[in-house]
Amino acid sequence: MSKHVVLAFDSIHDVIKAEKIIVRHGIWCDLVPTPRELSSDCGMSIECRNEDLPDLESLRENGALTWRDIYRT
Amino acid sequence: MIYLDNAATSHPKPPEVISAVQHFMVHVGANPGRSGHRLSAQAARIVFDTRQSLAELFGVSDSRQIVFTSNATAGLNIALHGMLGPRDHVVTTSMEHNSVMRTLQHLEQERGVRITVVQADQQGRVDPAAIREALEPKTRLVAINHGSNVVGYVQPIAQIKEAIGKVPLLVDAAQTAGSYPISIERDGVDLLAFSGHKSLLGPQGIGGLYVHPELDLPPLVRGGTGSRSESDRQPDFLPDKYESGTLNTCGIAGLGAGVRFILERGVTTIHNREMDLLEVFLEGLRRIAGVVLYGPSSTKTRLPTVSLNVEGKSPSQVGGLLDKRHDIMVRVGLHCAPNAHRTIGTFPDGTVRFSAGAMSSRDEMEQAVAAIEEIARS
Repeated sequence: MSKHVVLAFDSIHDVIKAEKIIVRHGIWCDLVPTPRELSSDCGMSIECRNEDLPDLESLRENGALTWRDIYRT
Repeated sequence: MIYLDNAATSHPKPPEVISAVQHFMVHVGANPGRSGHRLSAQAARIVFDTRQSLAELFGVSDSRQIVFTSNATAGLNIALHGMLGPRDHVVTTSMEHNSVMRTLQHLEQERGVRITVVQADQQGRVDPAAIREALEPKTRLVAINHGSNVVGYVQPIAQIKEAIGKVPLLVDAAQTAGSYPISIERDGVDLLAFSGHKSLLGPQGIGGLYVHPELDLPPLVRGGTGSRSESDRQPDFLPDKYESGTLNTCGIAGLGAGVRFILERGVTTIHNREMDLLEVFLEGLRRIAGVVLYGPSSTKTRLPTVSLNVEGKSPSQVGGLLDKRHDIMVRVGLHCAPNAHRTIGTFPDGTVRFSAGAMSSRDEMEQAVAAIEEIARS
């Protein structure tokens, strides 16, 4: 099972906005260069722990967080 | 030295602005969001934070609608070139700066854009009803100078938007942003260009444009954005759509500190303080024989920008004496707004313009009055 997920966004603005929301909710994340598999997006993406995915999904469902694509490392 | 040329650019800047620029240059320095490393991310956070602060100051709910440009002129060019197609009609006023008038004249020649100029009264006031009367079925845009850089009068943009209904409203807020309350969404503004180095207290070389989410205007410049790199096509999402090429991140860092300086004190507090300074200045000037004051006489709906002439002396003579003998910096002439000077009756000689700012003091205003008194008597 993979350990991390990478969230991809349209623009660096959306990356930083999402980073601030994720950090505010006490969830670990790190900015990483966008993996080749997601290269159609912005040059930076957000890496999160796989175990936090349910929390991220619920943030996405209530509209606090949006991402364009998700990739499992 | 007394600096009263804040309508040209604010000086001095708050120490926080200088620190922010220095911090960026010494400790960050990278290209925001272009590269995957941590300095690039840090630069992107600075850009994001400045955009957020501007959205807070201007009453905008999604900061992506605010794009950075090199100055207000560049923002106005995006708006005017993007909005006005062949034979479209535009309504503007006789108080506009050359940033709007020259661009419109160009579009008239290149695209057959038709321009109606609504005349302001001699105080620089534009009647919203006169703007409504100038509308035609093909009117695509109303372009309004918010605060006059010549006489300081601030036009009622909410009333103007109410008068023009669905016709998009472009506001040139070069003079008002940071020194006069602006609420973009509440007032129904569709496009707003601002300067970053005037009352927003940032360094020169930074400005921006607010674009309403429902407007789809083409960018003026296309190129690298750090996003969708595999595609030959310009991104259609904001802010990237209008931000090709490396941003002035250094300027954006300083601008962010300037906007936070304003948010901490409150734009209304800063404005009221500037109106107190204006009152001191105007009261002193009214007592001097031989001084002709232009523009509104009250401190209501205006900026601390005053145009005057001294009888028997040209504006450049007065400006020269203020600089060389009294150590006071002002701007003389036509202030890039010849139509505004025609409106107030001072074309082609122009006026001597005094413009106070957030860092000006009562003592400086009193010294300026004393200097004008001496020049008027000499």
